[in-house]
Amino acid sequence: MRNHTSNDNGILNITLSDRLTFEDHEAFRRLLTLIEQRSSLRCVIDLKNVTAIDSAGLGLLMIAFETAEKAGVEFCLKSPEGQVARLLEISEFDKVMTILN
Amino acid sequence: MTVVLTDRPTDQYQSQSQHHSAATSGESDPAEQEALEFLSKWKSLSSTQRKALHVVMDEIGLVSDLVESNITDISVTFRELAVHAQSQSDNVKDIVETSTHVEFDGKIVNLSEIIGMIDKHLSEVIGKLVDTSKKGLEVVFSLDDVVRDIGEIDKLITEIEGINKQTNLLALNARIEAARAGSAGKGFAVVAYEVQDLAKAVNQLATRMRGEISTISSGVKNGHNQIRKIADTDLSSNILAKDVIRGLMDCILDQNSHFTSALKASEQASKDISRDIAAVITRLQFQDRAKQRMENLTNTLTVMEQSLENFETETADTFSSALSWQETDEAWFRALVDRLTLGEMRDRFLSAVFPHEAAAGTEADAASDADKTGKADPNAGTDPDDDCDIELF
Repeated sequence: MRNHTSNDNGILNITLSDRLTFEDHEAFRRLLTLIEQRSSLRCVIDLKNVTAIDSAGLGLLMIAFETAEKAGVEFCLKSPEGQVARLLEISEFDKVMTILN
Repeated sequence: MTVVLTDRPTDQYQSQSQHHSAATSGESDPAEQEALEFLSKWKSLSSTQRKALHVVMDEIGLVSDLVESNITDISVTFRELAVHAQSQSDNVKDIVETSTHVEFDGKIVNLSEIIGMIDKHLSEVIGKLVDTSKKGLEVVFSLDDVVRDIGEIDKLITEIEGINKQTNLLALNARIEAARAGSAGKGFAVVAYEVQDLAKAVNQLATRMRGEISTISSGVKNGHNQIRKIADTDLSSNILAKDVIRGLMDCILDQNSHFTSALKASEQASKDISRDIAAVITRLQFQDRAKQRMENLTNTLTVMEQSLENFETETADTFSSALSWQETDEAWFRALVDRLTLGEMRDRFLSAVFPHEAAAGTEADAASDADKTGKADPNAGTDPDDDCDIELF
């Protein structure tokens, strides 16, 4: 997983790319710290360039959502595609969090 | 061969012939003779036609019986067929009614409901899989922290050991200084010893702590590795299996729907068959009308036969034995028999008119001079043209 973060107008934009798997948990944790810091009122994780995700990746996204919720930060996922979109749909993430297309 | 009528006494013939026939008077009129011969031919023709009519009536009776017995059999078979068709229709209807649901746990469950149930269970399982992944990662995060904290504790122990070394050194210096001070430094030397002992004890404690921490650390690292392995197990294919199961269930539903339509069509076809059979049975009642017509034909033929017989009797009464017939006059009848296509029918016609030739075969008849002995043709029964044994079904 590669990531790029930016903070624009109170929105923490996190753009992920490549695969999101268990191997990325340490790097992902640093992103969680950014959310916990409440430097932004809103956090958007852009999944457009994520080509594949495993069950640990789904767990990481769920942890990110719960972390944001705990910190009072509005959270949403954006533009999932292919296998990522299918897994999010089957796992009914849309019933828990906002997913923007 | 000439056959003389013998059904009248000779004296009667003679007395009548005196009135009506010049043939025996010795003064025969050629015209009258010709008329008598002609009349003989008429009588001969009448006799043969009468026999032929009789056998035709018998044949009509046979046909009527044949039709009646077969139509009766056919009607019975069709009624059985109707019962079977109805039974088939009922069975298919049952299948159609049960094809869209199953009985599960004492309840009737619709197939689409089953798919909903499976979907719900799968969603729950998937939700738990994601939750398990999330919790595994949280444990990994916590253990990451613990491993880091243990490293920190190790550093702290190293710091304690450093401080302890300095304390020990200070105590040594204090003892040296106390020795220099002589008796005045004796009390200080005791304190210095105490401090040195204390430093030793702290050192032992730090060593024990390091040992304990090391044990904890290896335990935590082991747990950390295990939980990483668990969290690293990719369950996404299991999650995507829901798609496969859903696809399969949709296939089953489609197939079921296809079967149901086919069964409904089959049920309708069975109903159509029942209706058609009922119509056939009604149509088979033509046999009653056919039988009546054949009875009427037979009655008509009986009257015709009777009128011919009356004519013959009257002719015989009038002309007595002056009349004769010749077998060769019956060539028309043999030609008629030849045109019959059923061997057994030919036999019946022949034996009715020529009893002495019974069963002589028909193909041997018309012409074969060699067969005039009246013996039956040994090949008659196996004549390839004889189709009396043809089975239609």
